[in-house]
Parts: sequence; C-alpha cells; structure tokens
Amino acid sequence: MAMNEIEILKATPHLAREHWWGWEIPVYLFLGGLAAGIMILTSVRVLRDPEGERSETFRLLSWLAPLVLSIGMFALWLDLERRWDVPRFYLAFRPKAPMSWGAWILLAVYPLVALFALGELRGRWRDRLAPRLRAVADWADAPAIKRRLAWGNAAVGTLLGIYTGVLLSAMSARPLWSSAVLGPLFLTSGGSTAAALMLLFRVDERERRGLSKLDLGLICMEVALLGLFFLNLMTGSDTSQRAGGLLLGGPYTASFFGLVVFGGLAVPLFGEAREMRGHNGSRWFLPLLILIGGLALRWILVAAGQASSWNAL
Amino acid sequence: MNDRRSESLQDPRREGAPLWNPYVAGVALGLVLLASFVVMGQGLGASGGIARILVTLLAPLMPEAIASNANFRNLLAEGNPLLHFLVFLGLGVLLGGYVGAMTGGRIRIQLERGPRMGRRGRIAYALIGGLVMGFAARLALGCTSGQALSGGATLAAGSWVFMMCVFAGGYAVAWFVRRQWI
Repeated sequence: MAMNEIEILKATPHLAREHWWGWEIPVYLFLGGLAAGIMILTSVRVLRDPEGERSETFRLLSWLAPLVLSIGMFALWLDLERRWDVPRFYLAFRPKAPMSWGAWILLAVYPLVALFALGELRGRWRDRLAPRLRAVADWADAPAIKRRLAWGNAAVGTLLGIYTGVLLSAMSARPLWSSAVLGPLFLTSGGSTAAALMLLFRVDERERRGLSKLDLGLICMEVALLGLFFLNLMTGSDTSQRAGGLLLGGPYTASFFGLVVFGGLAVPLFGEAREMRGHNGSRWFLPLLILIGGLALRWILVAAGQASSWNAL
Repeated sequence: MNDRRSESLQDPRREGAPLWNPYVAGVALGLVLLASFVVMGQGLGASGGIARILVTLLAPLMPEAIASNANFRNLLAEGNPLLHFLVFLGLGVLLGGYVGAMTGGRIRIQLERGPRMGRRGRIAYALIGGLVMGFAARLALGCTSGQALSGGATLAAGSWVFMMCVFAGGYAVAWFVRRQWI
C-alpha cells in the first residue's frame, strides 16, 4: 500500500508538490492533542491522589476535553471531500489502517470522558443535573468506578495523543513525517499544551504549582524528542536529509525556530524554571506562548511535510 | 512633588537587576548577527518585517493602493509575505525583550521616559520619530539594522559611512530633544 503511494508520487511529480491539507488538519491535530492531554492530566490527578481535595475549577476542566475535541473534529470534518460518508468509517475496522484506528478511538473518547467528567461534578453542579444523569454521576463518583474510569480515560487519551502523530507518520510518501518519533512528540506536546491551557484557569495555588512542574518536565521531554526527530532525519537517507533541511536552513526554518523552538519551548522553559525558584512572572503570557508553539508545531510540520517528497526538491 | 512626577523620577535601573553593560550587549548583538548569517544566510533587519506585516493587513483593505506600489507589489508576489525570516526575527526581538525583563525582574507594562517628560509627550515624540524613521527606511529600502549592522558586517563602505552619519546626526539632534531624558 505504502509502496504504491511512493510509486504513484514518483511517477507523478506534480502530485508530490500538491498541498492537500490546509488549516483544518493542523487545527484538528492541535485540538486533538490538547484534548488528549487534558484527559490524561485530569485522570492522573485522580489516580495519584484519589482522596485528595480538588478545586471546583479543576473538576470542571474535565469537560474541556470533549469540548475542545468536538471543535477539532469539526475542523477535521470540514477537510473531508465526502463529508456525508463519515458513518462508513464505523461499518468496518481495519487494524492496518491508521484512519480506521483514529475513527474508532475518537468514538471511544466521548462515552469515557463524559462518564469521568460527570463523576467530577460536585455540589451545585451535580444538583443541577436531571435525576437520571445525577444517578449516573453518583455511580461514576464511587471510588472503585472512578479509578477504573480514570484509567480508561488516561489510556484512551494516550492513544488519542499518539494517534495524532501516527496519522502523519503513516504517510510514508512524505519523508519529513516518516518518523516513529512523531507519535510520542505529539503526545508530549499535547500534554504540555493541556497543562498550559489549564494554567489559564483559576485553579488553586497547589494545583497551579503542580501543573507548572509537570509542564516543565513535559517541555524538557518535548525538546529531547524534537532533537531525536532531527537526528533521525539528518542521519538518514539523502531524501530524509533534504526533508529535514526544510526546517534546518530551508524555507520553514524561521517560522519553526521562532514560534516552536524559541517561543513555544525555550522561553516558557526558562520562565517556568524561574517561577519554580520563586520569581514572579506573568500568569497568562507563558501558557499562551506554549499554546501558540503547540499549534505552530503541527501547522509547520503539516505544511513542510507536504513540501517534502521523494523527488528531488 | 506630585505623584506623576515622582513616578517618572524613578530610575528603571534602580529596580530589579542592573541593566546590561552596553558594550557587552553590542558584542552579543554582533554574535547574533554572525549566527543569523551562518544559519539563515542573511543579516538582521527590522523594518522589512514590519513592512511585510503592514502589506498583509492592508492588501485586503486597499488592494489598488498596494498594487500601485512596486515595493509592496513585490512583497506580495513572493507568496505569503509573513512567511519570512524578518517577520520572525521581529517576534524574536519581542520575546528576547520579555526574557531580558524576566532576568531583570522588571516584568510590568511601563513607559520609559525621563523625569521631565509626561506620558503623552513621550508617546508623541516616539510616534513622530517612528514615522520619520519608517518612511525613510522604506524610501531607502532598508533600515539601520539592515544597512549599519548587516551591511557593516560585510565591510561595505557605504554602510560604514551611513553608520558614522547616524552617530553624527544623533549627536546633532540630541540637544534639541534632550528634555525627554534629562
């Protein structure tokens, strides 16, 4: 299948230059990663400290995941050529097709995240629910069930986060994306953008410190994975090196290093490390930079990937 | 002494960490310029990035006016004018300034001005200076950073003459606008 794709693109160089994907796919990848990160972070908090007190804001943040994912899926749907054929995805499961995996993962996210988030509603929020939903929320809030839901939520969130990267790396016709690092890279980036988004809300001071610390670790991991991604490209074949060159000296260098490496990783890393040591900084500026960097990472990789091909550039 | 006066008398250098030594900053800027040539194959510039942002904003609003200007028309002909090194360089300058303020413990919105200068006066002077500078930079197809820094680094004679003229002009005019700072 993959070889066919390469053969077709080699035989039709004009097709290899085509940019099929516009803004919709990067936006979907960003929001999908963001939702995955929120699912993982809210679940891990429950698993680490089941009896711990969580602020009302933190509990409500569980609802951000389905909201963000729905906006992302709308963008994905806009990109489809035959939009009304979507139900056909769910008439089969093809284990070798990333698209099929993605369709089913996206379907599994909603019931799980909804049950988990319902269980997180307490006090006045739960009182407002219809009686049947309140009964479901009571059931989902029972310790044993909550733990299972959190595990499921974290697992599906991880799959979703990795899948956003695998979706690109499955396209072997594009040498820039032909890297196993993309899955973990997008998962880590999803986690760090999720922590940044959560920091924009009024969580309590202890939660704020926890999220900042986690964000710091995730950004460090992201830097290491980006390093591996480039190492992999620049020590690969001539084609891989040409594809990597698009970001290292080529037309996408300034935008990638300006928005992703410097703005989205280096400055937030430096700023959050200083905040850890007790220096005051802006409460919204660094998280905003991380979010912009996360979106730019996907946007630029999608654009540059489509500019890379197995033909001489 | 009224509040506004006492606030304006505060010397920013007395708050947070001391400012950078200008000579060290100059050497660092030279190294940034060197890195820019090595990585991007071109030098630094400021007004080019601003012109590109301006063209992007104005093209949908006044297409005829933009199309009638050869300089702006060329910027649009290249494709998306924003996808250029100079635009991201400008973004990096802002972020670098933020990092500098972070290390100096000076993160807050403030207007840098001398003790005798009101806010409005300072903004008016800055706007007038910026307009003259921006107009002249587009007239000459480049700004001080492009001509003096990038051109000077390549040892272009014209760039060095320009740089000397900049200093001479700066010293000559400084006396007339000294009230801004002293």
